[in-house]
Amino acid sequence: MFIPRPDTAIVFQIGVPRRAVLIAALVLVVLLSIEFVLTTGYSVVRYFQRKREDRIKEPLREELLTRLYRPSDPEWDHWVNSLSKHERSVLESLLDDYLRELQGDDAEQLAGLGTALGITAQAHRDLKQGSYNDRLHALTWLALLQDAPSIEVLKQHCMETPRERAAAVRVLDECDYPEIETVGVDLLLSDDPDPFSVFGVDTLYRAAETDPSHLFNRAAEDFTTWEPQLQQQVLLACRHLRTLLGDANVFWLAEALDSPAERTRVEAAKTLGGFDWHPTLLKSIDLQTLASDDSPLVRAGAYQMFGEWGDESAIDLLRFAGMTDDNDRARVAAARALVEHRDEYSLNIPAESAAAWSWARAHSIHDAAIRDVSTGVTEASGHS
Amino acid sequence: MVTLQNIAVGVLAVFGTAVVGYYIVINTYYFVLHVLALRELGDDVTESEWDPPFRPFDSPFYPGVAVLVPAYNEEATIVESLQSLLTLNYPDKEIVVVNDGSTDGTFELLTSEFDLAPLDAEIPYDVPSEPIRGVYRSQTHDGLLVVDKENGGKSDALNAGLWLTDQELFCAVDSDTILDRNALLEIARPFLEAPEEMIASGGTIRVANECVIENGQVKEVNLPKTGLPGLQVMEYLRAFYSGRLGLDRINGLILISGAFGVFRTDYVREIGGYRHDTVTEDFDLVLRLHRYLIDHDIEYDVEFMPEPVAWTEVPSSWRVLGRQRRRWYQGMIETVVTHRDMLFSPTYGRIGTIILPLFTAAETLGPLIEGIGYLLIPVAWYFDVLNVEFLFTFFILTTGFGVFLSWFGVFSETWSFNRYDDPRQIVRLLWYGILENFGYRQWKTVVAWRGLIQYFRGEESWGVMERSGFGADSALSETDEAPEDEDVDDPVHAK
Amino acid sequence: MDVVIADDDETIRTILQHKLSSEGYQLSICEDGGEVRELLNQADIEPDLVMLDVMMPRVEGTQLLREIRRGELAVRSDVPVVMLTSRGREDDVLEGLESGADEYITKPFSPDELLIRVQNLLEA
Repeated sequence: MFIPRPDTAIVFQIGVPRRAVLIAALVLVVLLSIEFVLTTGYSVVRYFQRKREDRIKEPLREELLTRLYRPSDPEWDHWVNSLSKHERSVLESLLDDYLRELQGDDAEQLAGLGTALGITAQAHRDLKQGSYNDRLHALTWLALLQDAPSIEVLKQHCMETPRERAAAVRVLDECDYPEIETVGVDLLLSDDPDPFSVFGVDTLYRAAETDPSHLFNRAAEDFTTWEPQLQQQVLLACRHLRTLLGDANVFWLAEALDSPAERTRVEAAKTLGGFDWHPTLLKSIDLQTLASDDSPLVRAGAYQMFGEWGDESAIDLLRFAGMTDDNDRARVAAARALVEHRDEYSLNIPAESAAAWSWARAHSIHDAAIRDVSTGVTEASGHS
Repeated sequence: MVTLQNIAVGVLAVFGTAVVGYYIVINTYYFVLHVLALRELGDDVTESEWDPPFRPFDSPFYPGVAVLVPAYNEEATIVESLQSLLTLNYPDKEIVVVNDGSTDGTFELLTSEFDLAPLDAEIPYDVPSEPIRGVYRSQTHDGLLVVDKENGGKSDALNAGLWLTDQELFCAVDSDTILDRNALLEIARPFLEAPEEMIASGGTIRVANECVIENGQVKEVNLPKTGLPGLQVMEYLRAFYSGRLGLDRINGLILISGAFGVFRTDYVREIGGYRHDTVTEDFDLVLRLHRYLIDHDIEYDVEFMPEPVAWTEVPSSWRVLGRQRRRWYQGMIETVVTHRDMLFSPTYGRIGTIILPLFTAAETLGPLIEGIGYLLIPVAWYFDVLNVEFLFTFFILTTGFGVFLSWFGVFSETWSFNRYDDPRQIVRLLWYGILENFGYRQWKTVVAWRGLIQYFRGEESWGVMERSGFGADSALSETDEAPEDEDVDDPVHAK
Repeated sequence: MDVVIADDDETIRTILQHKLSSEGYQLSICEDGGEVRELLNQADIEPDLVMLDVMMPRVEGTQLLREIRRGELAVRSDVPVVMLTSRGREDDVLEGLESGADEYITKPFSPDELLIRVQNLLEA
């Protein structure tokens, strides 16, 4: 179909100046060329780097293990001095791998390799003079090499962020620093601390593991000054601390049950589950109020707590308050707690909670069955 | 005197200019996004290098994750897929498979391969899904829960799984997606750093075609042999390494793959779970999450992690790909229209005022306008309304700049995680980057228009889903995720 | 003395290989759960000790342990099994021992200690 072009009696034409187009085209070509060169160049460089690393890795690994496990001295210095820069770099990463898996004599021997490679010295230097990332890496290395810096150095240089504090205390923990339950806990919780990362909570837990009294006493003092998320994290860490507390202050846990923050109450309830050995503490808790908290999450936490206590009044509460809770997840939480005691008490489960009860019970039966290692269990068995 | 001809000419001229102007704006947006993405990538690489002596398996504080696997007629792949999911490296995980009323042997296979036994119990929750026929646990594999229910579609299946898990996080995957063994560990990292604020974390989807897969793990990363999957590799690289990362940098991540994303269970249940009436249920979910959290003044964060990868097969035929993209495009329109009150609304902060409007302009309207441009501008030039330089400008802005952006994506990948480690693969990718903009891109504008027409016709985008497997099925655009292979005969898995 | 070892981590495998073979043990080393299950299911297999990592691809160590103890594999169900794992918490240790492991060693570990425990098991 032929569409005639109109004659030149057009009113106007919009045009882009030729020069502009040429410039745009030129810019594009230049940009594309740069991209092409950078991309392919980078790819080629990395390719050959990787090939080289692969080539030297296995012999280095063999040599490392041979030296480590031979009866005589590994002579790390002698070996390292004979290596090229690339070999040392690959060896460093191998060292990292092995240090993460080993403990005891082997780890100590390997730490010698770290010294020979200059990592230990560099790490100590980085703590004082390095950038934030340098310090973090240094702290990791020192934890692996089990070479703790002094507390003063840590306090002075490594308290910038919660992450750094946690890394610093972690080093102390890995090196079995003797007073970590006081010093470590203090380092983590001093100066108006921010909430932790999971790494931080884990570090707090490990620091306080040998003797949680200091942590508890500190919490007793500072708990109300902490923001809710930190409160919850400390409660969470405390939940997993099983060692004996002696006469440390634990009443702050009960007070936490009155916190305006919902999740703080939840965590407090769950943590208190492990404190049935402390009758005075237990007496200070108003169970009824707790079991009728507005928040279903808090009630669910409370049911978990009752389940862990397992005494008759706790079980009664579970039966009457828990199983008739109007929130379905809270009901299931109560059922789960109750199910663990079904052989100890005769329980009459109200009809309206039948679903929650059957659910909890069925799961409990399955859990037990799957862990049973006597023969013949895997035949499909009926579940009564 | 104004003649009809003059009006027509005027209209052509205005439209032509508007299209070019539009493209200058959109390309500026993309360019900025790419640059931001590169910076974010740098930070992410530095972050991933921090490897403290923290043993996740030795810590009681690691968040638990439920991997939700909706399955519909997946008998070819379900067993291998599950075996790989069951041995994912993660301390505290649960796998919840939801059999969405499969009509093939999916459920029977599950029962026999994993020694399922029925849970003799009623379901104590009000699960917002199609009726559940039964819940099963494996007698040999701890941590596997299977839900058997009536067919209801993917969203429905996800909701069933979501309501029946107690884990604090969940990860929705497609049943034929292959996760890297450490993928869960990686994608959970944001939740380790900010356990309270982090609401969602998205991972990267990559193309599995031609990759060597053994025992449910990608052993060798290869580029597809043929063009169409190859183009999609290019597309995904750009979408994830520039698009998502860029959005993440400016705290505007409005899109997390349904094929690989981790979310807080409690919040998603709070907003009612996934919505049924859309094929882009993941896009819709993330927007609704943003909305809910902003409405309730909750401090939150959403992150994108470039390193953890989920691999998926992409369509290798134009027909299948076209159908899929039409559906996604339609889904995207539906979702944007549903949430249109967020557009330009200061209530929703940066997301409302800047991100969503720009995203809509680029991804939804962009292809449509570009399509008009391909028609109008050559016509306008033919009628001398626009000069030839104009024509060239248009092509430089769309095709030329497109190649630049595509290559930017390849550069980002090479510079950071470098999974395509052979330089020859990189050169091929760069070639695909060119091809992507000469043909593929233009074809996508046609797909967009067809999707728009389908939308106006009121055809249901999500209806077709139920007759074929789920795959990974969400809108893919500059910033989107993985498609599915609807072909029944799956050459890779049928080994 | 024949020892079967399964661990997906090359670092661990090489440590065990060097430590145990230098003490004179014959080692069969597997890289994942599927491989070791196939090995333990061979008709003539009679290792003196089996060492399993808990988190392995294809089949987890705990599941393998249960299969062994339940008599589902060819290898004798009372073969001494040492579990090697990163899960070091009390509950995990208890669960591991309840699942039928004879020894439960947590990483990071001391190869010397491992050796002593292995020797004790083999002498019993």
